[in-house]
Amino acid sequence: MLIADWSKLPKELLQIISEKLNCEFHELRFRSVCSSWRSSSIPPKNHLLNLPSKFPYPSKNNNNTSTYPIFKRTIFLINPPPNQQQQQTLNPWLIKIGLDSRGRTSLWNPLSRDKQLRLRFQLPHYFDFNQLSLFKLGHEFVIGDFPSVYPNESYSTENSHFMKKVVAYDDTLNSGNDRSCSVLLTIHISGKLAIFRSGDQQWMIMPEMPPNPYTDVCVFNGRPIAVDSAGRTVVVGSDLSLDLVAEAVFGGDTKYLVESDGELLLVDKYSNRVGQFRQFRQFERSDYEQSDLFSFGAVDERDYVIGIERAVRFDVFRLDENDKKWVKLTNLGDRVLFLGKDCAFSVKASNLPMANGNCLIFRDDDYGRDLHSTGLGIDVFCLDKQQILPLSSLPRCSNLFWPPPQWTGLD
Amino acid sequence: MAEEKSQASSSKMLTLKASDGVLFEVELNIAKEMKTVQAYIDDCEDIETIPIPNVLGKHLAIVIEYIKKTNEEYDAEFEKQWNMDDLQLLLLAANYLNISGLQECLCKAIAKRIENKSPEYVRKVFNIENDHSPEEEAKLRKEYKWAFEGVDKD
Repeated sequence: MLIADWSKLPKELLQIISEKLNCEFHELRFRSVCSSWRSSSIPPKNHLLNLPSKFPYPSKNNNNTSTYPIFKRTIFLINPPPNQQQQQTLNPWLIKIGLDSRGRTSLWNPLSRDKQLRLRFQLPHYFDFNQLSLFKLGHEFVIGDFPSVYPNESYSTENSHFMKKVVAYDDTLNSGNDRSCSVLLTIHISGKLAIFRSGDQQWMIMPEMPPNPYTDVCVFNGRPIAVDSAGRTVVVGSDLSLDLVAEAVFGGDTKYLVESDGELLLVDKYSNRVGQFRQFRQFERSDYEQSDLFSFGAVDERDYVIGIERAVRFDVFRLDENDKKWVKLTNLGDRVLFLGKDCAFSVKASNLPMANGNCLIFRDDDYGRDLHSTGLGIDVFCLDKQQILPLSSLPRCSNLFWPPPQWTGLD
Repeated sequence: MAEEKSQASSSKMLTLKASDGVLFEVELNIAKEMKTVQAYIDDCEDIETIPIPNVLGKHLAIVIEYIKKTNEEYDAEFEKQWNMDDLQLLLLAANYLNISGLQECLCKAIAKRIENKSPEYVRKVFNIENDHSPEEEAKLRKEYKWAFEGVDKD
């Protein structure tokens, strides 16, 4: 009778398993199991297969030569080591972690692109992840370095705050060959979709002009999905055709996609415009062609207006795949949805722990934000009360993010 | 077990013999998904019974079923039924028989099961001894202690 001897698994299989782990932290644990597992895993950097390490921004201007590095950041829920749990119920900690442009491991605001502020402890400080219970909630890709929080401060002109969410998926057309390839999908500022494949030098902006601009993209069950501002949802095929997944719902201003409990949800955000400001001389460089900017509502190529919007309420829908319709959900049950700028995810309230689920945690854009605010800028929308509350009014929830729980020794 | 020889080559049947002697009759096009079997057929065209010495009847049955039914939905549910030992033996079978789709599916399933677990747990479940030498252990400790650096400008 064959007894499974895992340590003798052939190297090539161990390598495939390690590739599928898809996360640096899990791979480190994989490698520390035993020596044969260790020598088998060679994780690709950023897990983007056969893509360059730097990318231009999507633009109709094909003479664009500036490129920016891509960073993968992972969102974890960390729980203290078991032996410490005998004391009072200890808070988990929700963090986003990834390398910065100087290769240092850093913490980031889980819902936006900026660095977590005010880590005051002395350098260097070691945090042993192998001792903790790490639960991966999601990951994101960000192109460009964002050292500063506020776009209307002077910041590195290396970034574009107009760079929208980027998602990565496997190129199924090439799946027969030895080398699998990743593909990136994002939204160009004109509202059209843009794709970057292995071997490309520039993003390919998909020519189809949808009736409404696309506002979010995600990868669901390995397939790239996009939604426009009316809620019309499509899947991008391997031949770059767009097939309908669900019809529009109209409703609010911006739509987002979140995966929750194995199903795809649509979040519909209603916003009010609370102000605006002008940004000057933003685009002296040739990154963007004039027509790119006009579609964004620019006045001329150096001076444009940014509207400041704040969310007033949200509706959530679940997908009826057969009827190709979004069906409104009045109650999320035990679930808490998190809407970040580059990543959205769902967690059970009991895991956080929070008394009740049925809420949505989000962050309005940075524009117009109080420059001296010390908060994280995160708010909570409760579906039952149809009300937005600041994170600070829910201490149990607020303690998830900041300050670091006592058991970490980082406060 | 007698094999049937049919006119059309697409419905020609082959017999596969598992390591414990269990025999399986499969259609040629199913057997061809196992590249190892394909190579066997290419070498000796008249073969009717192909021995599969590394795979138990129980697992060969599962593999054949997978080949017949594989699609996105089936694959998603497939791995949930098996315990860790079966998963490993199925993976070794898929590897030996050279069925890349099944191999990918199983690797993904195994990765998912160990993903959020500590190395100690993984060692326990898979019954593996930590055989790292003290030097290797020290090197690993260094690798996985992550340094945080505070945001300096404030």
